[in-house]
Amino acid sequence: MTEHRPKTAALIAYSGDLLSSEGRRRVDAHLAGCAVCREELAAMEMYDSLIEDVRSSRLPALDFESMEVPLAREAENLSRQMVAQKRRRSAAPWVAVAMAAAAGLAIWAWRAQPARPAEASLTDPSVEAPSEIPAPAPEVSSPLAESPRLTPVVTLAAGSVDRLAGAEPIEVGLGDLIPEGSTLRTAENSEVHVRLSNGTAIRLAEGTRTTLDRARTDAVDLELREGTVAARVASLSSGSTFVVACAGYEVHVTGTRFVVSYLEDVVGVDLSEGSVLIRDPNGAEIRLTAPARWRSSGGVDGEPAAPAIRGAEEPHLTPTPVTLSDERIVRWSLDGIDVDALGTVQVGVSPGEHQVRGWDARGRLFRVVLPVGTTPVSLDPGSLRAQAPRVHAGHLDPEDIRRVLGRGMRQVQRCYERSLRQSSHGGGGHARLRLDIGVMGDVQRAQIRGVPDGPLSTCIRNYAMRWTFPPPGGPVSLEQPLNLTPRQ
Amino acid sequence: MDPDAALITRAREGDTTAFQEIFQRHRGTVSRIVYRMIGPSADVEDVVQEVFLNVYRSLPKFRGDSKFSTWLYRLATNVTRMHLRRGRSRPRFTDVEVPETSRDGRPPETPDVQVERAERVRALYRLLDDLSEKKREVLVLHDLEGMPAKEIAETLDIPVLTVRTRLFYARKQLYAALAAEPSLEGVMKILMDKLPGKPKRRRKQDAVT
Repeated sequence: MTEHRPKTAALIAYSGDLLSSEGRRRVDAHLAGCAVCREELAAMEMYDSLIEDVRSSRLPALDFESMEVPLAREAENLSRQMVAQKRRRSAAPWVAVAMAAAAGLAIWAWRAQPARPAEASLTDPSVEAPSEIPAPAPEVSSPLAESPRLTPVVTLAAGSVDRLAGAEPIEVGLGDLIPEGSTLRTAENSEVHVRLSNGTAIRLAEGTRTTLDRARTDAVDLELREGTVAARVASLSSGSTFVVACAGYEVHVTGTRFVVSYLEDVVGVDLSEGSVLIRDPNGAEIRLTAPARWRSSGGVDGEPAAPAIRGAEEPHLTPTPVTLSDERIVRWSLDGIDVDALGTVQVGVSPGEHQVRGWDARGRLFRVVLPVGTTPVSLDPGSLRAQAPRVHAGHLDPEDIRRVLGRGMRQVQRCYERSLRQSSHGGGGHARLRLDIGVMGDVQRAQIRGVPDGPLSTCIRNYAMRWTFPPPGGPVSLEQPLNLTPRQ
Repeated sequence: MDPDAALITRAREGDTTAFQEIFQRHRGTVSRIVYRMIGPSADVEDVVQEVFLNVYRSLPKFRGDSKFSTWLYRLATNVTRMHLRRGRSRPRFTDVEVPETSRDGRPPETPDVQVERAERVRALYRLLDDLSEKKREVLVLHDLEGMPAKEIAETLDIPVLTVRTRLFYARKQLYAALAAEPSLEGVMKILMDKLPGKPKRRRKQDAVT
């Protein structure tokens, strides 16, 4: 026999008095004998009342003043950028004319020279130009000149990060320059953020190996050998490219925010802004437009990942180095950027007050406001404070615990017997119930170990969440063994 | 001229006081949306600040295709969504104080009533956590924030029909969850006892607009 399911739409119409008198009579008659529908109708009433409670509740008093300092600082930075951009825009036509004239002169000068030896290449920086051939000025935007290099700078280094340029790996720290051809490696629980001088920001997650093949104003090429790279690409000018090559695939980016991963032999692309063109090893092309997720192994659902990257948003100012280190902390958050890291985090920040938050392995939150000036700052581990209201532990009298749990164990037994009736195996045996009790004595969290997720554990948890202890004056945690056996 | 448009123009020209005025003008609305979305939490202030940092940084991209308020709601919703996603891997601090209800001339609530109401609000937010992101956003904006379906559609960039569908299924899921919520069992029983034969009428204004 199938279970009766309430017709929610009909009940809404009924409770909203939208039915005809005949329809209403029929629903009335049904309700008189249908507990399930009455329950749903009661839940609707309850919902309305709860919504009313929330709607009429005042907003908590927020400390807007403390927000004004960082917001004013950000506004000042942005204003400077906007004014500078405006100046550049107004100067742009004259700059373009000057650039074109310089390029014309360079081409004329090059043509006037004797023919170069065939093996000489102006675009290969490793080959020194023969003395009789003048090397082109790097600032001139000639089609024959090598385009200027971008400067990749480390904006955040967390945990263990190194760079392979020769035989020996070199440890990477905040502010280091990453030359073309370098391979960056991040260990487990480590990550590194790099900002290019054109505003593009790249983040290597833990366990990543990537080579920066080219970093030029017209072309940035990365080769991802393993791990995950996220990037926020600054607007590309016409003809410029940003390509991530990975296991025979190429991801061509056209001004966007994206993540490329190469994990367990699967290439993945998460695109949260803009568009990319993926070229597979056979030359076939796939175009993605945000928001999109793509995997070389097949389709995938869900929202694309879009991690924040240090340096992507900030103007290119001289930052003050900040070192965060606390052996308790496994995850940091600084100004909204999350970093999973064991060990030290080095990051450059602008002067001012910064919110630093950290979580330990048990998920407890610590926070501190860190004032930063123009000299390097190290966080004093003692200054991290546990997040209120976990101020001090409370105390419960053993007799009170026995009294509440004694009543509760009868409910646990009922849950177990009900689960036995519903299925041949009730998931019995020995289990443990952990209770986190709040300041007012209410159970904040109930966790059951030794019972698989299902109706039995849900039933026990639901009952446990209703137990009330005398107010312990602070958070208290208890663990109670459960012996789940049929009553004799 | 629209005051927001004037402020945006001034901010784009690098006037820092315009940024400050945008914050002062809209912080109440943003705080309310964030609070309704994440519930009683110590993180509300952090999220509000993050929303305004994003507003400042994104102002140059605001093209004026939609109303500034719609754009602001969208940004606030997106930032809050990212916050909630990040929070899924972290424990929630449910022992945060629930603010008092505005009584508007009615007699003050007794401490017992206040505690019960705070617990019911916390229970509602616990149940909201179980809704999918999409359903939760629509339900919060419509039922808690009181935003019409058409405006929600513009804010979330989805069809109005989708708003109505998500709202229906979100409420349906919540009704079932409320009926099964142990901390509300007592209230449910009282309501059930009142129902047979003559259920209390629900307000019309809460039907989908």
